[in-house]
Amino acid sequence: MEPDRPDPDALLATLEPSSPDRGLLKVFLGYAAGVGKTFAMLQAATSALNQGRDVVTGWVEPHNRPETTLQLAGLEGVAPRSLTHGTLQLWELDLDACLARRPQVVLVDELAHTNAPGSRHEKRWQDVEELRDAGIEVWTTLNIQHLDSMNDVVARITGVLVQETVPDKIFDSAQEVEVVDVDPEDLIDRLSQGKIYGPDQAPRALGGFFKKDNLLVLRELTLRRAADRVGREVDSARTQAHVQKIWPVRERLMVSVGPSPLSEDLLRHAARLARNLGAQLLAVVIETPGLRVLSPAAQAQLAKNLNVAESLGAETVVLRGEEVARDLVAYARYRNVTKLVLGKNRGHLSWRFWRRTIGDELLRLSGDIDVYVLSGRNPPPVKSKNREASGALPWKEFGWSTLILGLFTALGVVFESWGMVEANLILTLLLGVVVSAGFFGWAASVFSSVLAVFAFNFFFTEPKYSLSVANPQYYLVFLFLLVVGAVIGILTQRLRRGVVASREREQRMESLNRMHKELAGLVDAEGICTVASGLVGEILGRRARVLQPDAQGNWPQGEGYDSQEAALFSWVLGHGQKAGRGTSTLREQRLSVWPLAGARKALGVLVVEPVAPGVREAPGQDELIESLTASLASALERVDLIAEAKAQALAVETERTRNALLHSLSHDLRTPLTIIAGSIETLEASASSRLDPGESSLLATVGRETRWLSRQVENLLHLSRLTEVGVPWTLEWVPAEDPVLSAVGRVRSLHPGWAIDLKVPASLPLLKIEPRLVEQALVNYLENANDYAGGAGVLVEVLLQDHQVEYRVLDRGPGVAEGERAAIFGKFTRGEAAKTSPNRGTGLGLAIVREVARVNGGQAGVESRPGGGSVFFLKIPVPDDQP
Amino acid sequence: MTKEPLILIVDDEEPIRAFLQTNLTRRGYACAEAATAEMALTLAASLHPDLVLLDLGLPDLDGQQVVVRLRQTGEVPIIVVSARDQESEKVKALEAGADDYLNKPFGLEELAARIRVVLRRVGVASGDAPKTFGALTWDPAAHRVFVGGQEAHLTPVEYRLLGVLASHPGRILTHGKLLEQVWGLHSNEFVHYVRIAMAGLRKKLEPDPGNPQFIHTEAGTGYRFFE
Repeated sequence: MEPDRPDPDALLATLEPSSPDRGLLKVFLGYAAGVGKTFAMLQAATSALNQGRDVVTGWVEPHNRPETTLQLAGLEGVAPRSLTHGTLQLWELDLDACLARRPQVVLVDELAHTNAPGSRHEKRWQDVEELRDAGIEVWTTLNIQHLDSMNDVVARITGVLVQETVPDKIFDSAQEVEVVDVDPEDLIDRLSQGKIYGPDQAPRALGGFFKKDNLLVLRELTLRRAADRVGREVDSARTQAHVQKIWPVRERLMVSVGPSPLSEDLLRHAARLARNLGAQLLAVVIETPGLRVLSPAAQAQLAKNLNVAESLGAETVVLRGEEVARDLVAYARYRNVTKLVLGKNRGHLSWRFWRRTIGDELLRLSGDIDVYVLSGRNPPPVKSKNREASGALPWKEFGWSTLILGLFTALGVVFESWGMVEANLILTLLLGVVVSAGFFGWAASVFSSVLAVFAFNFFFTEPKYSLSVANPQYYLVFLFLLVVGAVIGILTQRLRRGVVASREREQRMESLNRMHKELAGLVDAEGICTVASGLVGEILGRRARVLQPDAQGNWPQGEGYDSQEAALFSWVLGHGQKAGRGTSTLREQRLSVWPLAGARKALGVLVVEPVAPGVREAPGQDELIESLTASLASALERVDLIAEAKAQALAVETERTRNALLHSLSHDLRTPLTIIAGSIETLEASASSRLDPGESSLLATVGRETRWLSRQVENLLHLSRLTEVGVPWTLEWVPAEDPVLSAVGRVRSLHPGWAIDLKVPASLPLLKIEPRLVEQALVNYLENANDYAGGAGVLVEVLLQDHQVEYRVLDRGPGVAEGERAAIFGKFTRGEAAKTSPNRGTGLGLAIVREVARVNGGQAGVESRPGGGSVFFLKIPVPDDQP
Repeated sequence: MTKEPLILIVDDEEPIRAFLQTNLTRRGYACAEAATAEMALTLAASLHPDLVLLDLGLPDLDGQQVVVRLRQTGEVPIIVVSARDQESEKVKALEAGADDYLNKPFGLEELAARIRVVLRRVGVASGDAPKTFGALTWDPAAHRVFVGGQEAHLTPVEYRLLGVLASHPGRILTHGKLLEQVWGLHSNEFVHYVRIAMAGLRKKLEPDPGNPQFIHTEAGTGYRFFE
């Protein structure tokens, strides 16, 4: 591998800033409780509010500090959600209410908080992430000891270990960090005055966490961590500026993770190292055959270690392999890793006895990669359970081994009676050891070797049927027997593990293959769901369901899931994240739910029910489910694409027919109308002098009716085009005055006699509209004002208020009764005034306006005009992203 | 002009030609009629009409093609009169070189007004001489613009925009055409440039931007400069 190969990942990372639609994050960082983070946040919020930003409080810790309460009074708050847990009444951030309120900025105090059971997310920072995903900016507070990578450092300094931590990647994703600093002396002062904790707690705090030494160190840590971040921001800006000229060469640090609790510590060390070096961190697990048969406790520890790695911002990789050192180095070379970090292995002397440690092996293989070996602390006393589970002696296997060896000893006795030599008898016993090793593993093999030594001594050496030994030569034979037995046992065990692992892998491949085959032939989503539900259930050995919501987002009935579970499905579908049991979101739920995400959208969910009580969950199931969901999603997507293509073809065909019809209709109606109208107009001009008054009036009637007919035809054609389903209108950026100027211009040129006053403010924003439609709507308003309100005192004005442009056509007509106001905008409905008016209409004009408002995201309506008459308005929102 | 202007009426509907002819003759124009595209092109070549009134739905060749052919042979003003009201048809005809576009059914008064405007434009002298449109004076040689005697200070883009508009008084200039001539862009993606610059120009030129006298908006199509 060339050393300076450009790394596409690193390049991508610099080219892809965080998504622009995501809400920003601002963190008020402090070094201890009581430094005034909340106060600083509220103060900043108040000043932002005064600058016109829409700021609300989502959650503020009730501190009962007077300054804080005072600041809080001026801010709008989203009421917290109440939860009952046992007899306790708990209050939490109401995430849904905040999302529904959609402020520009929401304040969420105490980022590290762990939510009460029954909340959607386990941690508050997950709530914050969801708010940011929805495009809401979040301001929050955090103490340094709650930061994941600082957690153990702070614990070592202060002796207080906090349980609630926030992943570093969340902190690092903040756009702004404000360090809230206060002199430690002042802080201690405040504490002793009882301003931070109640008077009963204060002395205890002063003696512990709040010792001045502690505070000084914490303060330094905080400032350093914040400075670190600033440094990295500068680096990344520099990298971005030069990205065209040089390949960003970033260091990459790889840490090897195992199922030990020590790995957690190791990860934190490595994360700190990586941050100081500005390096990317990779956490790698080499899944050897040995790792696949770990005790459940060790499995859980491994999973926990991986979670810790992820929360520290590391990329985690699980690799299948046989030899840890070799595979680590190979992967490190593949990923251009510059530094490798591993923990010093304490204990495990047996390993050293048999072979070199992983560390030795790595040093031999690593070449130009730096290897760091870090010493861990002694494992904390959580080991007890672990030890119990793995250290229990397998009595059952020993029993069987004894039986087998007894059998082979008996066989040896028979052979001896036939006069066989001792060497053959030893081989017979060894065969017994091999058999029990093959069936019952390593421990049984060693146990059998010992038994074999005793059996050989007791039955076959002089003096027979006694454990005493006549010839000292035999001691050597015993030793060989023991060693050979143990070695055979170990080798058999390794072979067996390999077989188990590859069988599992095979099964997994086979399951996936079967699924592909069975689903390939199906062309309807329902069929896929039914068949896949059965298959997945069979493969996982527990009930599973593949569900797809219908077009309205409802989940299929009759599966026996309640509405709360249906809500869980919807959440998973909407967020594309797994949730429920065994995950970090809504984990009190009985079900585990996995999203089936296609390339373009989420297509459904896989619901996995818990295993029957008492049955242990097979290891590695998550990985299996992950591959199953991928395969399911692709099957569903295929069906979805087919359906979509069909619908599209149909829509195109419908649209074509419709267009052709409209086209010919408009041509066929307009041509005769043009002829009639043109001919009458010509006649009116030339022949009127030769007609008597009765005939003249007849001609005038024909002319008026023809013009009326023309207008109705135009209205009908407009409306049918407007109400067409599924035809996207292209909205364009248009200065707000444009449509009103062109509408008034058009009406003036069509009806030179009408008097229309126009009031347009000098500076109006741009709107995103379809200008011809808006013009048409205003023309309709103006024609109505003339037809039904006599045309006198018609005023057109444009107002800009509440982020909306409002076009208003004001008349001095009879007005519209309150009860009619909504109805007259319907199709073929006409107001009372219109019914008595000499001008006939069809009631389409306002229906067109309503459709125009809909297409342009606005709102149309009528209100009464002070001093008599009506105001017909069309309001259109002003987009924030003005070009 | 000593002779009365000759208008070539191209429409496949006999009654339409009939009333147009009657009406236009009475307004002092001479008329010729064509029912097909082929005939229209022949007559245009032989009679040298002063203006062509063109229907798009012709039996032998689409009216859009007729616009293109007429433009290949000369600068005769064309007013399209059609029952097709899709904006795309309108823009296509205007960009091919038509001077104006009128939807059927139309009022005869309006048609007469459009004909007058287009014919007058043909008579407008070109060159560097200062041009006056009501209260507005444009002096291309001095690169200056005056409104009611006061000099208007335009940005370079606004000045170019006014130049293009004032060189074609009475004619609809589509957004595409303006983008091309003022910005040198050939993509309709940037239509809002035109709209924004136009709003700025109006503020500087129109005594009452709420009641524009010089620049009229043709919604969705473009702008027209009036004398």
